[in-house]
Amino acid sequence: MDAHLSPNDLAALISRCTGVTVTGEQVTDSDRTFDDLGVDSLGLMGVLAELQRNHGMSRDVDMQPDQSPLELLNLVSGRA
Amino acid sequence: MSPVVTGLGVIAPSGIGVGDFWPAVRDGHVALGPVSRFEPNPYPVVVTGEVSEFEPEGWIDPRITVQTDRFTHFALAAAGMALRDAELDPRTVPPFEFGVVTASYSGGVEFGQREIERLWKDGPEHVGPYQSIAWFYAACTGQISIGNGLRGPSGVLVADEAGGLDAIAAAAGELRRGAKAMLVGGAEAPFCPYSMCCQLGLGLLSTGEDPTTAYLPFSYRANGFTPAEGGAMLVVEDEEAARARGVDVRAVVAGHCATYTGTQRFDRSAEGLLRAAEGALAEAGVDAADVDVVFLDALADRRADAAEAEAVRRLFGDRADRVPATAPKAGYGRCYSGAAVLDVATAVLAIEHGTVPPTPGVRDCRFDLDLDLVTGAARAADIRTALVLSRGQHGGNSALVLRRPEPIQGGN
Repeated sequence: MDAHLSPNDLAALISRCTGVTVTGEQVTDSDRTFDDLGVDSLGLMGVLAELQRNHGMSRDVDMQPDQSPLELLNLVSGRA
Repeated sequence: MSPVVTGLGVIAPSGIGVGDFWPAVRDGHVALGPVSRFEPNPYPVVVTGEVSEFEPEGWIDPRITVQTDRFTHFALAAAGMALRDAELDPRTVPPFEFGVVTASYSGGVEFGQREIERLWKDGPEHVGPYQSIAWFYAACTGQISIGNGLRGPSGVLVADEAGGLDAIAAAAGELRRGAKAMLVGGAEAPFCPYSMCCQLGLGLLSTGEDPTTAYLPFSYRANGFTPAEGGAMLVVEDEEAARARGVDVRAVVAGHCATYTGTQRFDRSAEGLLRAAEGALAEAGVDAADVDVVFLDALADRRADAAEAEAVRRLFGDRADRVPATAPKAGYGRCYSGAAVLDVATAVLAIEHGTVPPTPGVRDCRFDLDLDLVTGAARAADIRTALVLSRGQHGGNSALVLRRPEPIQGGN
């Protein structure tokens, strides 16, 4: 868990891992899925691995591209 | 049905795009230099041909950049240039009639080096998921296909260095089977320690420290070749389709043949190259007497150079020392499966400009070879038929014949 991970931090992490430019605003929009942003399953796998390595996220977490970055943010920051 | 070249996209140490590449090659410019893509110490090869000006920004969608190796960046950028050069918008071709074939030798080694380092330093969970698609030989074909919406017959040839010519023959075959257009070529980015170690095992790389003398094929000082990164993609179309849309037909892909003579058996490659050349000329329906220029494989190994010269002598007989032969790659290095495709692009440009570019740096072609090696300055020549030879380190020998297109009879 990383309670300090902000929407902007997660957006920057997604951009770095996937090459898709994502803003903090898009991360907090609950209607916007990874699919919508253009992040595919391999890209999402890379994002999850980065969060598990460096942000204390549980290795049991799995997400699909039809879920939203907001769901991921809530999981990582312990708000879920 | 004739397969014809309508577009060229080149990325080489000599230049990015034909506008930069051709003048540099025509003028015999040497684009080799010290290794900068990795720390060369302790590796014995210190001079390479790097495409130092190329960065993916502006050429590649950032999300594709992070998923792919540098060799795929080259291939994607070259494919884009080739399409623009051919004035061909892929959306105007039925997707199942437009395919892509690439040749590959090294795969995505730079990307792989980074991920292998993460594996050993930090553990398996630190290896990124894109390693699964970035390293492999088909990455260029796949990304070009996806990026341009091409769903036609596609493939990748891992057939040693000569695979560059074999890929063009495969594309020509698909056009004969009904495809309307093909993107075809090969690109390499083989500069990282892991890849360099693989190449050193060949025992054929030059360890020369002076970029102007490191790679001197067919000379008395030949002492190995200089490896390079880069490559080329071509648009090859059915001639009628090309003429129908009103674009220039640049050259006809007239014939091809491949033979195999065993790993590093350069004594046998003379026979292998000869038979490949004869087969390609036969398919093209021309004689050896019709050949106006030969683009040589040019390994810069004494035995290999002698074998290639023997093939040329046996092909042309008494005429061997009067057929201009050249190895422009001596100026920018040998980029494995991309090398022969760059030679084909150069041959197309040579036909168009009526000019045989020189073999840069070479001033002392071995007398015993009986070659008319073009050295020093470019030579004017009326080129109707060009023969391109290519050889792999592991025994592949291929030849491709290109012909100048006939003017349209009674056209307006």
